[in-house]
Formats: sequence, C-alpha cells, structure tokens
Amino acid sequence: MLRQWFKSPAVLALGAEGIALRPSGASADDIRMICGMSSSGSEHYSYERLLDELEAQADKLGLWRVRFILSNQFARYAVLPWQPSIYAMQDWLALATHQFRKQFGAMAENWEIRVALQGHGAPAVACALDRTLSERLLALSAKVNWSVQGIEPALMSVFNRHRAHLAKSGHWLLLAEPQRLLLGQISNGAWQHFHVDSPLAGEEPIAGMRMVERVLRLQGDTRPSAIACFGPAALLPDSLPEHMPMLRLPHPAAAVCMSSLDMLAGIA
Amino acid sequence: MKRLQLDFSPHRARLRNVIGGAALTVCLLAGLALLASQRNLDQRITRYAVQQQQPWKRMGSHAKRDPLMLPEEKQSREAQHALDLPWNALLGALERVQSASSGVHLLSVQPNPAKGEVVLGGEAENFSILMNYVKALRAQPQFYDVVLVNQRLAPETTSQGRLAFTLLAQWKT
Repeated sequence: MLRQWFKSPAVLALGAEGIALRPSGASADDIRMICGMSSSGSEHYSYERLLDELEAQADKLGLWRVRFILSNQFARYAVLPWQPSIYAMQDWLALATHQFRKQFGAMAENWEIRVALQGHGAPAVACALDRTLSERLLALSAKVNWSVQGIEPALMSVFNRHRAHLAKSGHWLLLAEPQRLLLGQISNGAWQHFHVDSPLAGEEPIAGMRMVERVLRLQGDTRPSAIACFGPAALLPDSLPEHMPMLRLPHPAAAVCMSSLDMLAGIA
Repeated sequence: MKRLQLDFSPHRARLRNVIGGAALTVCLLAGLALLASQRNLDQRITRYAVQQQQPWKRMGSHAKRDPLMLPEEKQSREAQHALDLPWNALLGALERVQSASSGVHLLSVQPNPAKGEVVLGGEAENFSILMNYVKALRAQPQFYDVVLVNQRLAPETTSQGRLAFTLLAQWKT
C-alpha cells in the first residue's frame, strides 16, 4: 500500500474516441484503450455513453489513485481581462459565468467553472465543464473507491507539461483532436485568446491551417515565433501558412501512440 | 508563465486544506514552544533577581554545585583550622618551661594538630634534669600525658656526655 503512494496515479483520458488508461506507475508505452467509441453519429460528443462504459468496467480495472484528463471536446475556454478591483476567486468565477453565459447562452448555467489567474495585471483563463460530467466522475470514483487526484481539461495537462518551453519561446499552442481544434494565443507571458474549430472528420489538418491563417491575419503585427502543435500527426497540418514555423511537441511514447487520447494519457 | 490550475476535482482543495491545517498546527506548536520558553526564561530571570538580592544564598548554592571548587575549599578550611589553633599558648608554655629549666636544649618541636600531639626533641645534661623538664611540662595546662619516648647518649661530635631525648605530649587544642 505504501509503495502505491510513491507511484504516479493511474491516468484515464476521456475523449470522443473513447477512454485510454495508463496504469499507476506505468510508462507511456503501457497505455491501452479500455473503451472505444464510434466516431460517427449524433452521440459523438456525448459523454453519457462513455461514462456508462467506464462504470461497467470500473471494478475490473483495479485502480486506486486516478487522475482524469478530459478531451477539449468536453471543455470550453475563455480569457477574462484583468480586473484590478476583483480580489476574491468567487468574484472571478461570477465574472467567468457571466462571460460564458454571454457566449453560450442559458446552457452555461449547468456548467462548472474554474478560473486560473496568471498573475497580477494578466488576463485570467476560465474553463467550463458540464457539471453532470464532473459530478458523475466523482460519484463513480466514490462508488468504486478510487481516490481522485485530478479532473483536468486537456489544455491544462498539455500546457503544464510543456510550460517552460512554451513560455520561453513565445509560441502559440495548437491542440488537435478528432473534430476539435484549439488554438491558444500566448503573448507577454500570458494567454490572450482561444480559438476553437470543429471540422468534419478527416478535415482537421486543412481546418487547422485555415484557422492559423485566419488568426494570423486578425492579429496583424502580433505574431508568434512559432506554433507548437500537440496531437496525432494525421490531425495536424503538414505546414503552416505564411511560412510560420511549426514545432511538434515531444512525446515520450510518440512512436506507439496512435490517437490523441493515447497522447493525452501519456503526457500526464 | 504560471501553471494552469483548472482542476475540477476536490483533490487540490483537500490538499490545500491539509497543508494549511498542518501549517497551522506547526505554527500553534511553535507558538506554544515559544510561550513555554518565554515562561522558562521569566522564571530564570526571577530566580537570578532573587539571588542577586540574597548573595549569601547564591554563594552557598554555587559552592555546593561546583565540584571544581571543592579541593580549594577543603584546603582553605584546613588552613583556617590550622590558623585557629592556640599556637601562642603552646609556644608560651614551652618558653616558660625552657626558661625555668637550665641544662636542657630544645632542638625540635613537631606539633600534630590532627592528633592533638606535640613531639619535642632535645638534649639534656643528665637524666635528673630531663625528668625535671618533663615534670615542668606536665605542670603546664596546655599539656597532659607528657611521656618520655626515648633517650640515648648524644653523639660526641655534637656535645660531649649529653642525653638526647624525645618527648610526646598531648596538646589541649
């Protein structure tokens, strides 16, 4: 039991493709899909079936300490401008709720929101998940006696893993998943904007290139030194417009990882 | 850039609470330890202040506690005891006897205060003079049990036909 404390927790990466598991203390090469989902149909973005599958298999997995990483399919991001008069986290959460309500309407009432401050004078990053999703994950963990070590959106896991590199070189970050692209703009050592696209299956590389082109045009003179990309090679563009350098973020098990979920589970 | 903290589990909050609780406990314990230390210091200051007002107690307690001072103290006690002996009375009695007895030469006086004895060495012209000397000593209140320990003819090199003697007298200290 004591040895378990010194091992890294098991990682369960949940996405539209299914669920990938990296057992506690295992290397990135030991990642396996425990549940695969069909990538077509109306239930593509639904986590309900995913959680049902996980619940059905939970007892057989033999896990103890678990960390969940959620695909960007399930998360929404926003950047909140710095507010010098707001000090309490509760007020930042209220501001984020208001922002999401403006963007997404009444459905934001059912979302659970977290705000990450980036420092004094810098914009704050807000993230929203369906409240049902986080509540069901916690309820399932309590039912099968898992100790939850984290429920993190993919952006948090990827950025924290490569933070030193990204912050130093002033890159932007492009996360590619099946039918979901997320481009985060970083400048002056802080997140400035997020751009999301949901292309059709198979069109992710082209959509990614177009999204970068569009954002670069909107930005005008403010250009990154390069764009760091994270995701399976099949989902990433081969090259970027306007001769923008592209950097593929290293991955410990890049040779064996085939899906974005594998990569997410491996990065933690 | 700071790490992104967008965790939706209560784990970090729990961890923060545990760390906060532990830090609070450590602070409380440190505060209690400081308080106890402060009280101890106050007590010591009070004790020293009392000792400053009553230096004889301080001296007494120090002498008892300090083992390095014991030999010196013993020596000083012995020296004081030796000085307290009635030397004047002893020497006065010997002078009185000596002035009344002709023909006796007192050569050595070896007092032993611990045993209360005095050993006298000398020479007498003859045995009757020696015995008169012993009687005169016995008459002195400073001495009792004056006995002749030994007698012999003195070597001719020092004096011719003289009787060397040793007397042992009990000394009333």
